[in-house]
Amino acid sequence: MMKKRFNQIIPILILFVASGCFADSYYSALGLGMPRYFVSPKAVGMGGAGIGVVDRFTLNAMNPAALNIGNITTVAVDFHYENVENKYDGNKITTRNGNASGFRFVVPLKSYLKMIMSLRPLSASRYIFQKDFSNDYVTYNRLVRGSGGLNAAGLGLQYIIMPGLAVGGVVNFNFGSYNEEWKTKFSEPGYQDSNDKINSHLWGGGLQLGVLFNPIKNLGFGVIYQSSSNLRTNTQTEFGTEGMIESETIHLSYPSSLGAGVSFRLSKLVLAADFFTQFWNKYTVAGKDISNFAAFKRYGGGMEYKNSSDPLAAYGKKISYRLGGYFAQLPFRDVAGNAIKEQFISFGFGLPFQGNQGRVDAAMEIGKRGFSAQMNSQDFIIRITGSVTGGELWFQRRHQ
Amino acid sequence: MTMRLSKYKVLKYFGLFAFIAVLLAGCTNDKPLPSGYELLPRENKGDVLVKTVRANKASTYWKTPTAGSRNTLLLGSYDHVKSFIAMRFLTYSILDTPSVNSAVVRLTQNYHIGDGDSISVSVYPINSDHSWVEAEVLWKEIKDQFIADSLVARFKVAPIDSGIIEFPLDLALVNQWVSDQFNDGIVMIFDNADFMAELYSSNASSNWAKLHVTYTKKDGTPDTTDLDVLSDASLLQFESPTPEYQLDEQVDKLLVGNLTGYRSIIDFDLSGIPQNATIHNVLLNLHIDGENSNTRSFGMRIKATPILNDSLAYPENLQFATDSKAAVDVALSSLQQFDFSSANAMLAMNTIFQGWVSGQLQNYGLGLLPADAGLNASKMSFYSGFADSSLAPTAQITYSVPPSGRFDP
Repeated sequence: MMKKRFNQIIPILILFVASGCFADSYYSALGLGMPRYFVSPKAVGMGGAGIGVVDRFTLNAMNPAALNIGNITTVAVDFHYENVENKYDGNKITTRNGNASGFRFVVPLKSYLKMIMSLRPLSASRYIFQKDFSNDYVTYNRLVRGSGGLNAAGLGLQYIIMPGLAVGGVVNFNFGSYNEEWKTKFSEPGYQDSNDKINSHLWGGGLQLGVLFNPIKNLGFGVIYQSSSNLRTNTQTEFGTEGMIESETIHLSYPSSLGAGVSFRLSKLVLAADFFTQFWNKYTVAGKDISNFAAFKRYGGGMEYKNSSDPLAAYGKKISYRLGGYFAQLPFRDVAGNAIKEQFISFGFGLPFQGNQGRVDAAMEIGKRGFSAQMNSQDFIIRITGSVTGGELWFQRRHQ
Repeated sequence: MTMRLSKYKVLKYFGLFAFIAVLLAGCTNDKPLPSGYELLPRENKGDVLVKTVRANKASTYWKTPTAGSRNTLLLGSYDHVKSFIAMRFLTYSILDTPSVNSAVVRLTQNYHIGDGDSISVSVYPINSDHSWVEAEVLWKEIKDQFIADSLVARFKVAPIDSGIIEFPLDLALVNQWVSDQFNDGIVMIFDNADFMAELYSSNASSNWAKLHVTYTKKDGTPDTTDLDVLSDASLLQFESPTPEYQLDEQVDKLLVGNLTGYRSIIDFDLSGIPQNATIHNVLLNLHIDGENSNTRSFGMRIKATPILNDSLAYPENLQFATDSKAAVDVALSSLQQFDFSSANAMLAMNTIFQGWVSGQLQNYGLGLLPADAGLNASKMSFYSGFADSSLAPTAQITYSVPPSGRFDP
């Protein structure tokens, strides 16, 4: 019965390739795109706070130490949908994008040792710009279409040193591609339209470390560190009409990051708060500092209410309800040099299925980005995150 | 218990369904953002630029045109060019016995250029052992291959713009063609002419020449028929002070002629255009020397085509790109300037210049050729800029270089 259930999730997991899944934004055309901060779908409903939260059906993407799967092999697959209303000088356009966004797979090797496999987005980029031009001779239109993102495929371990203290580490293979297409279209006959394509492929290694400490039963602290990643970047440029290709390889630095979180359980309520920073101010391209980047800073907090964790309780009592919000300073600056900010409120719920052997989580975030007067450009965002998490016994000796 | 399990299943599948539905519903839409192009931090956005380049070399030479594929036949003399006609009829597949009783050639005249007395034309048979090809035949090939002491017809051509010319053809010759089931036709030549007449050729859509014959069939019954022309060609001879294929360099006039076979070569220095540029448009402009140009109301088609080999020292060996890669446009002698400005001409010119700039095509210069050499007496003369650089041919090049990538350092 359990095998059958698990087999329903595995094919979906195989289909997954992590993707940024952000709808269009001007800011995603900068650097490596919009940084993707994702702890778990449960955390998303709580303002993204989850570095210090441990939960049976929360496979923590940021803190490999914050896992509590017991002896159950557990898998979680995620999807992500975003609707963005881009507003500039009174003009607005709505874009949306949805896709699978990663998975996490945790196998218990020993009661104190778990193996982690994961695929998750680190950043995402998606935009289209268009502008009409004219000179003394001709009018033409230029269109820039960009997409891509950086992902991390990870393999790691969680080690429970003692009850209340666990550490985790994941070795990541960071990879991704960024594609940009520049189309020039002329209004006059006899003019040759063109389409320049610039495709970059990136790859490099990285390390992700986490600690979870529960000094008392209801209190949890989590700390994470992600190393910087030296990304080898091969860019191919396909020119206009002749199909000529130029190729260039450089190195980029995907910046390191630090985060810390705390959680506190009060009967049926869990409170959590996180702080995370990524040092985008140290982002370099071919060894050169990109001076106009700021550090990414994120402050999030939220709560979860669940009436009962008893598998035999009425179904309605086992549903989790979550609420939270976050404030973030993005790595990008407006024309006046001020870092772009975004703020969101979030809410979500968790629906257990088959007793307490799996859970569907969903969360919605509503917020805005880039609301400085200098930029005069705002994104109003509705984001939906979902996840299916399930588990079954693997590699366990049958008891006679 | 049954009820509870059922609810779980519904919830489980609801979750999976919702997930897959969102995945597959094509929930992505792409629209251009209302702003951002100007702010996009790219060092170079591949802006479209326009650069005008003057031709820095000019030369001209002439080559006798082959005229067999044109829809006209030229007979007469004009602008130092004489034109005879070679013609061959389709006799052997129609007539089954050499019993021709009368044979009359009918030609249709549709234009003349120049003026003077009617031209007296003599017709001679071409040697039966000499086979000529319509698309390639030249006077130098025929001049020693016709039987000069065997006059088979005479006729006159008047300086008029429309009319029928008929003349009887020697019956013995026609019957010989029938019995041999083969003929190499006739050549129409003259001694003196003050004008040039234009006749319809077998390539015209109508009014081509006919050989009207009356004959007796094998069964003894009389019959008449019109025999079509199998092949015909104008045989042009340019009486030029300069030899054929002699390249005149640094000339002030760039000549292109349908009769004379004049063609010119210009050269552009494109080193100012980056090699990775995309050529969006090239507008080739030439200033017309009206005094030495002459076209009818429908103009003259000029072909601009890249030279494919480095053989300016031996113009007879010059190779030009095929017609499919050439830019062709119509010049009018009544105008001051000539642009290759039709959409197709500009697109072809873009391809030529793109090849030169990107290095896929060696830049040995651009040939300005008569696209319809041998068709009529149209000719164009353009200023080369040698005497007055402001009148030099120019190429107005619209191009862009690829934009910087987002990871360009």
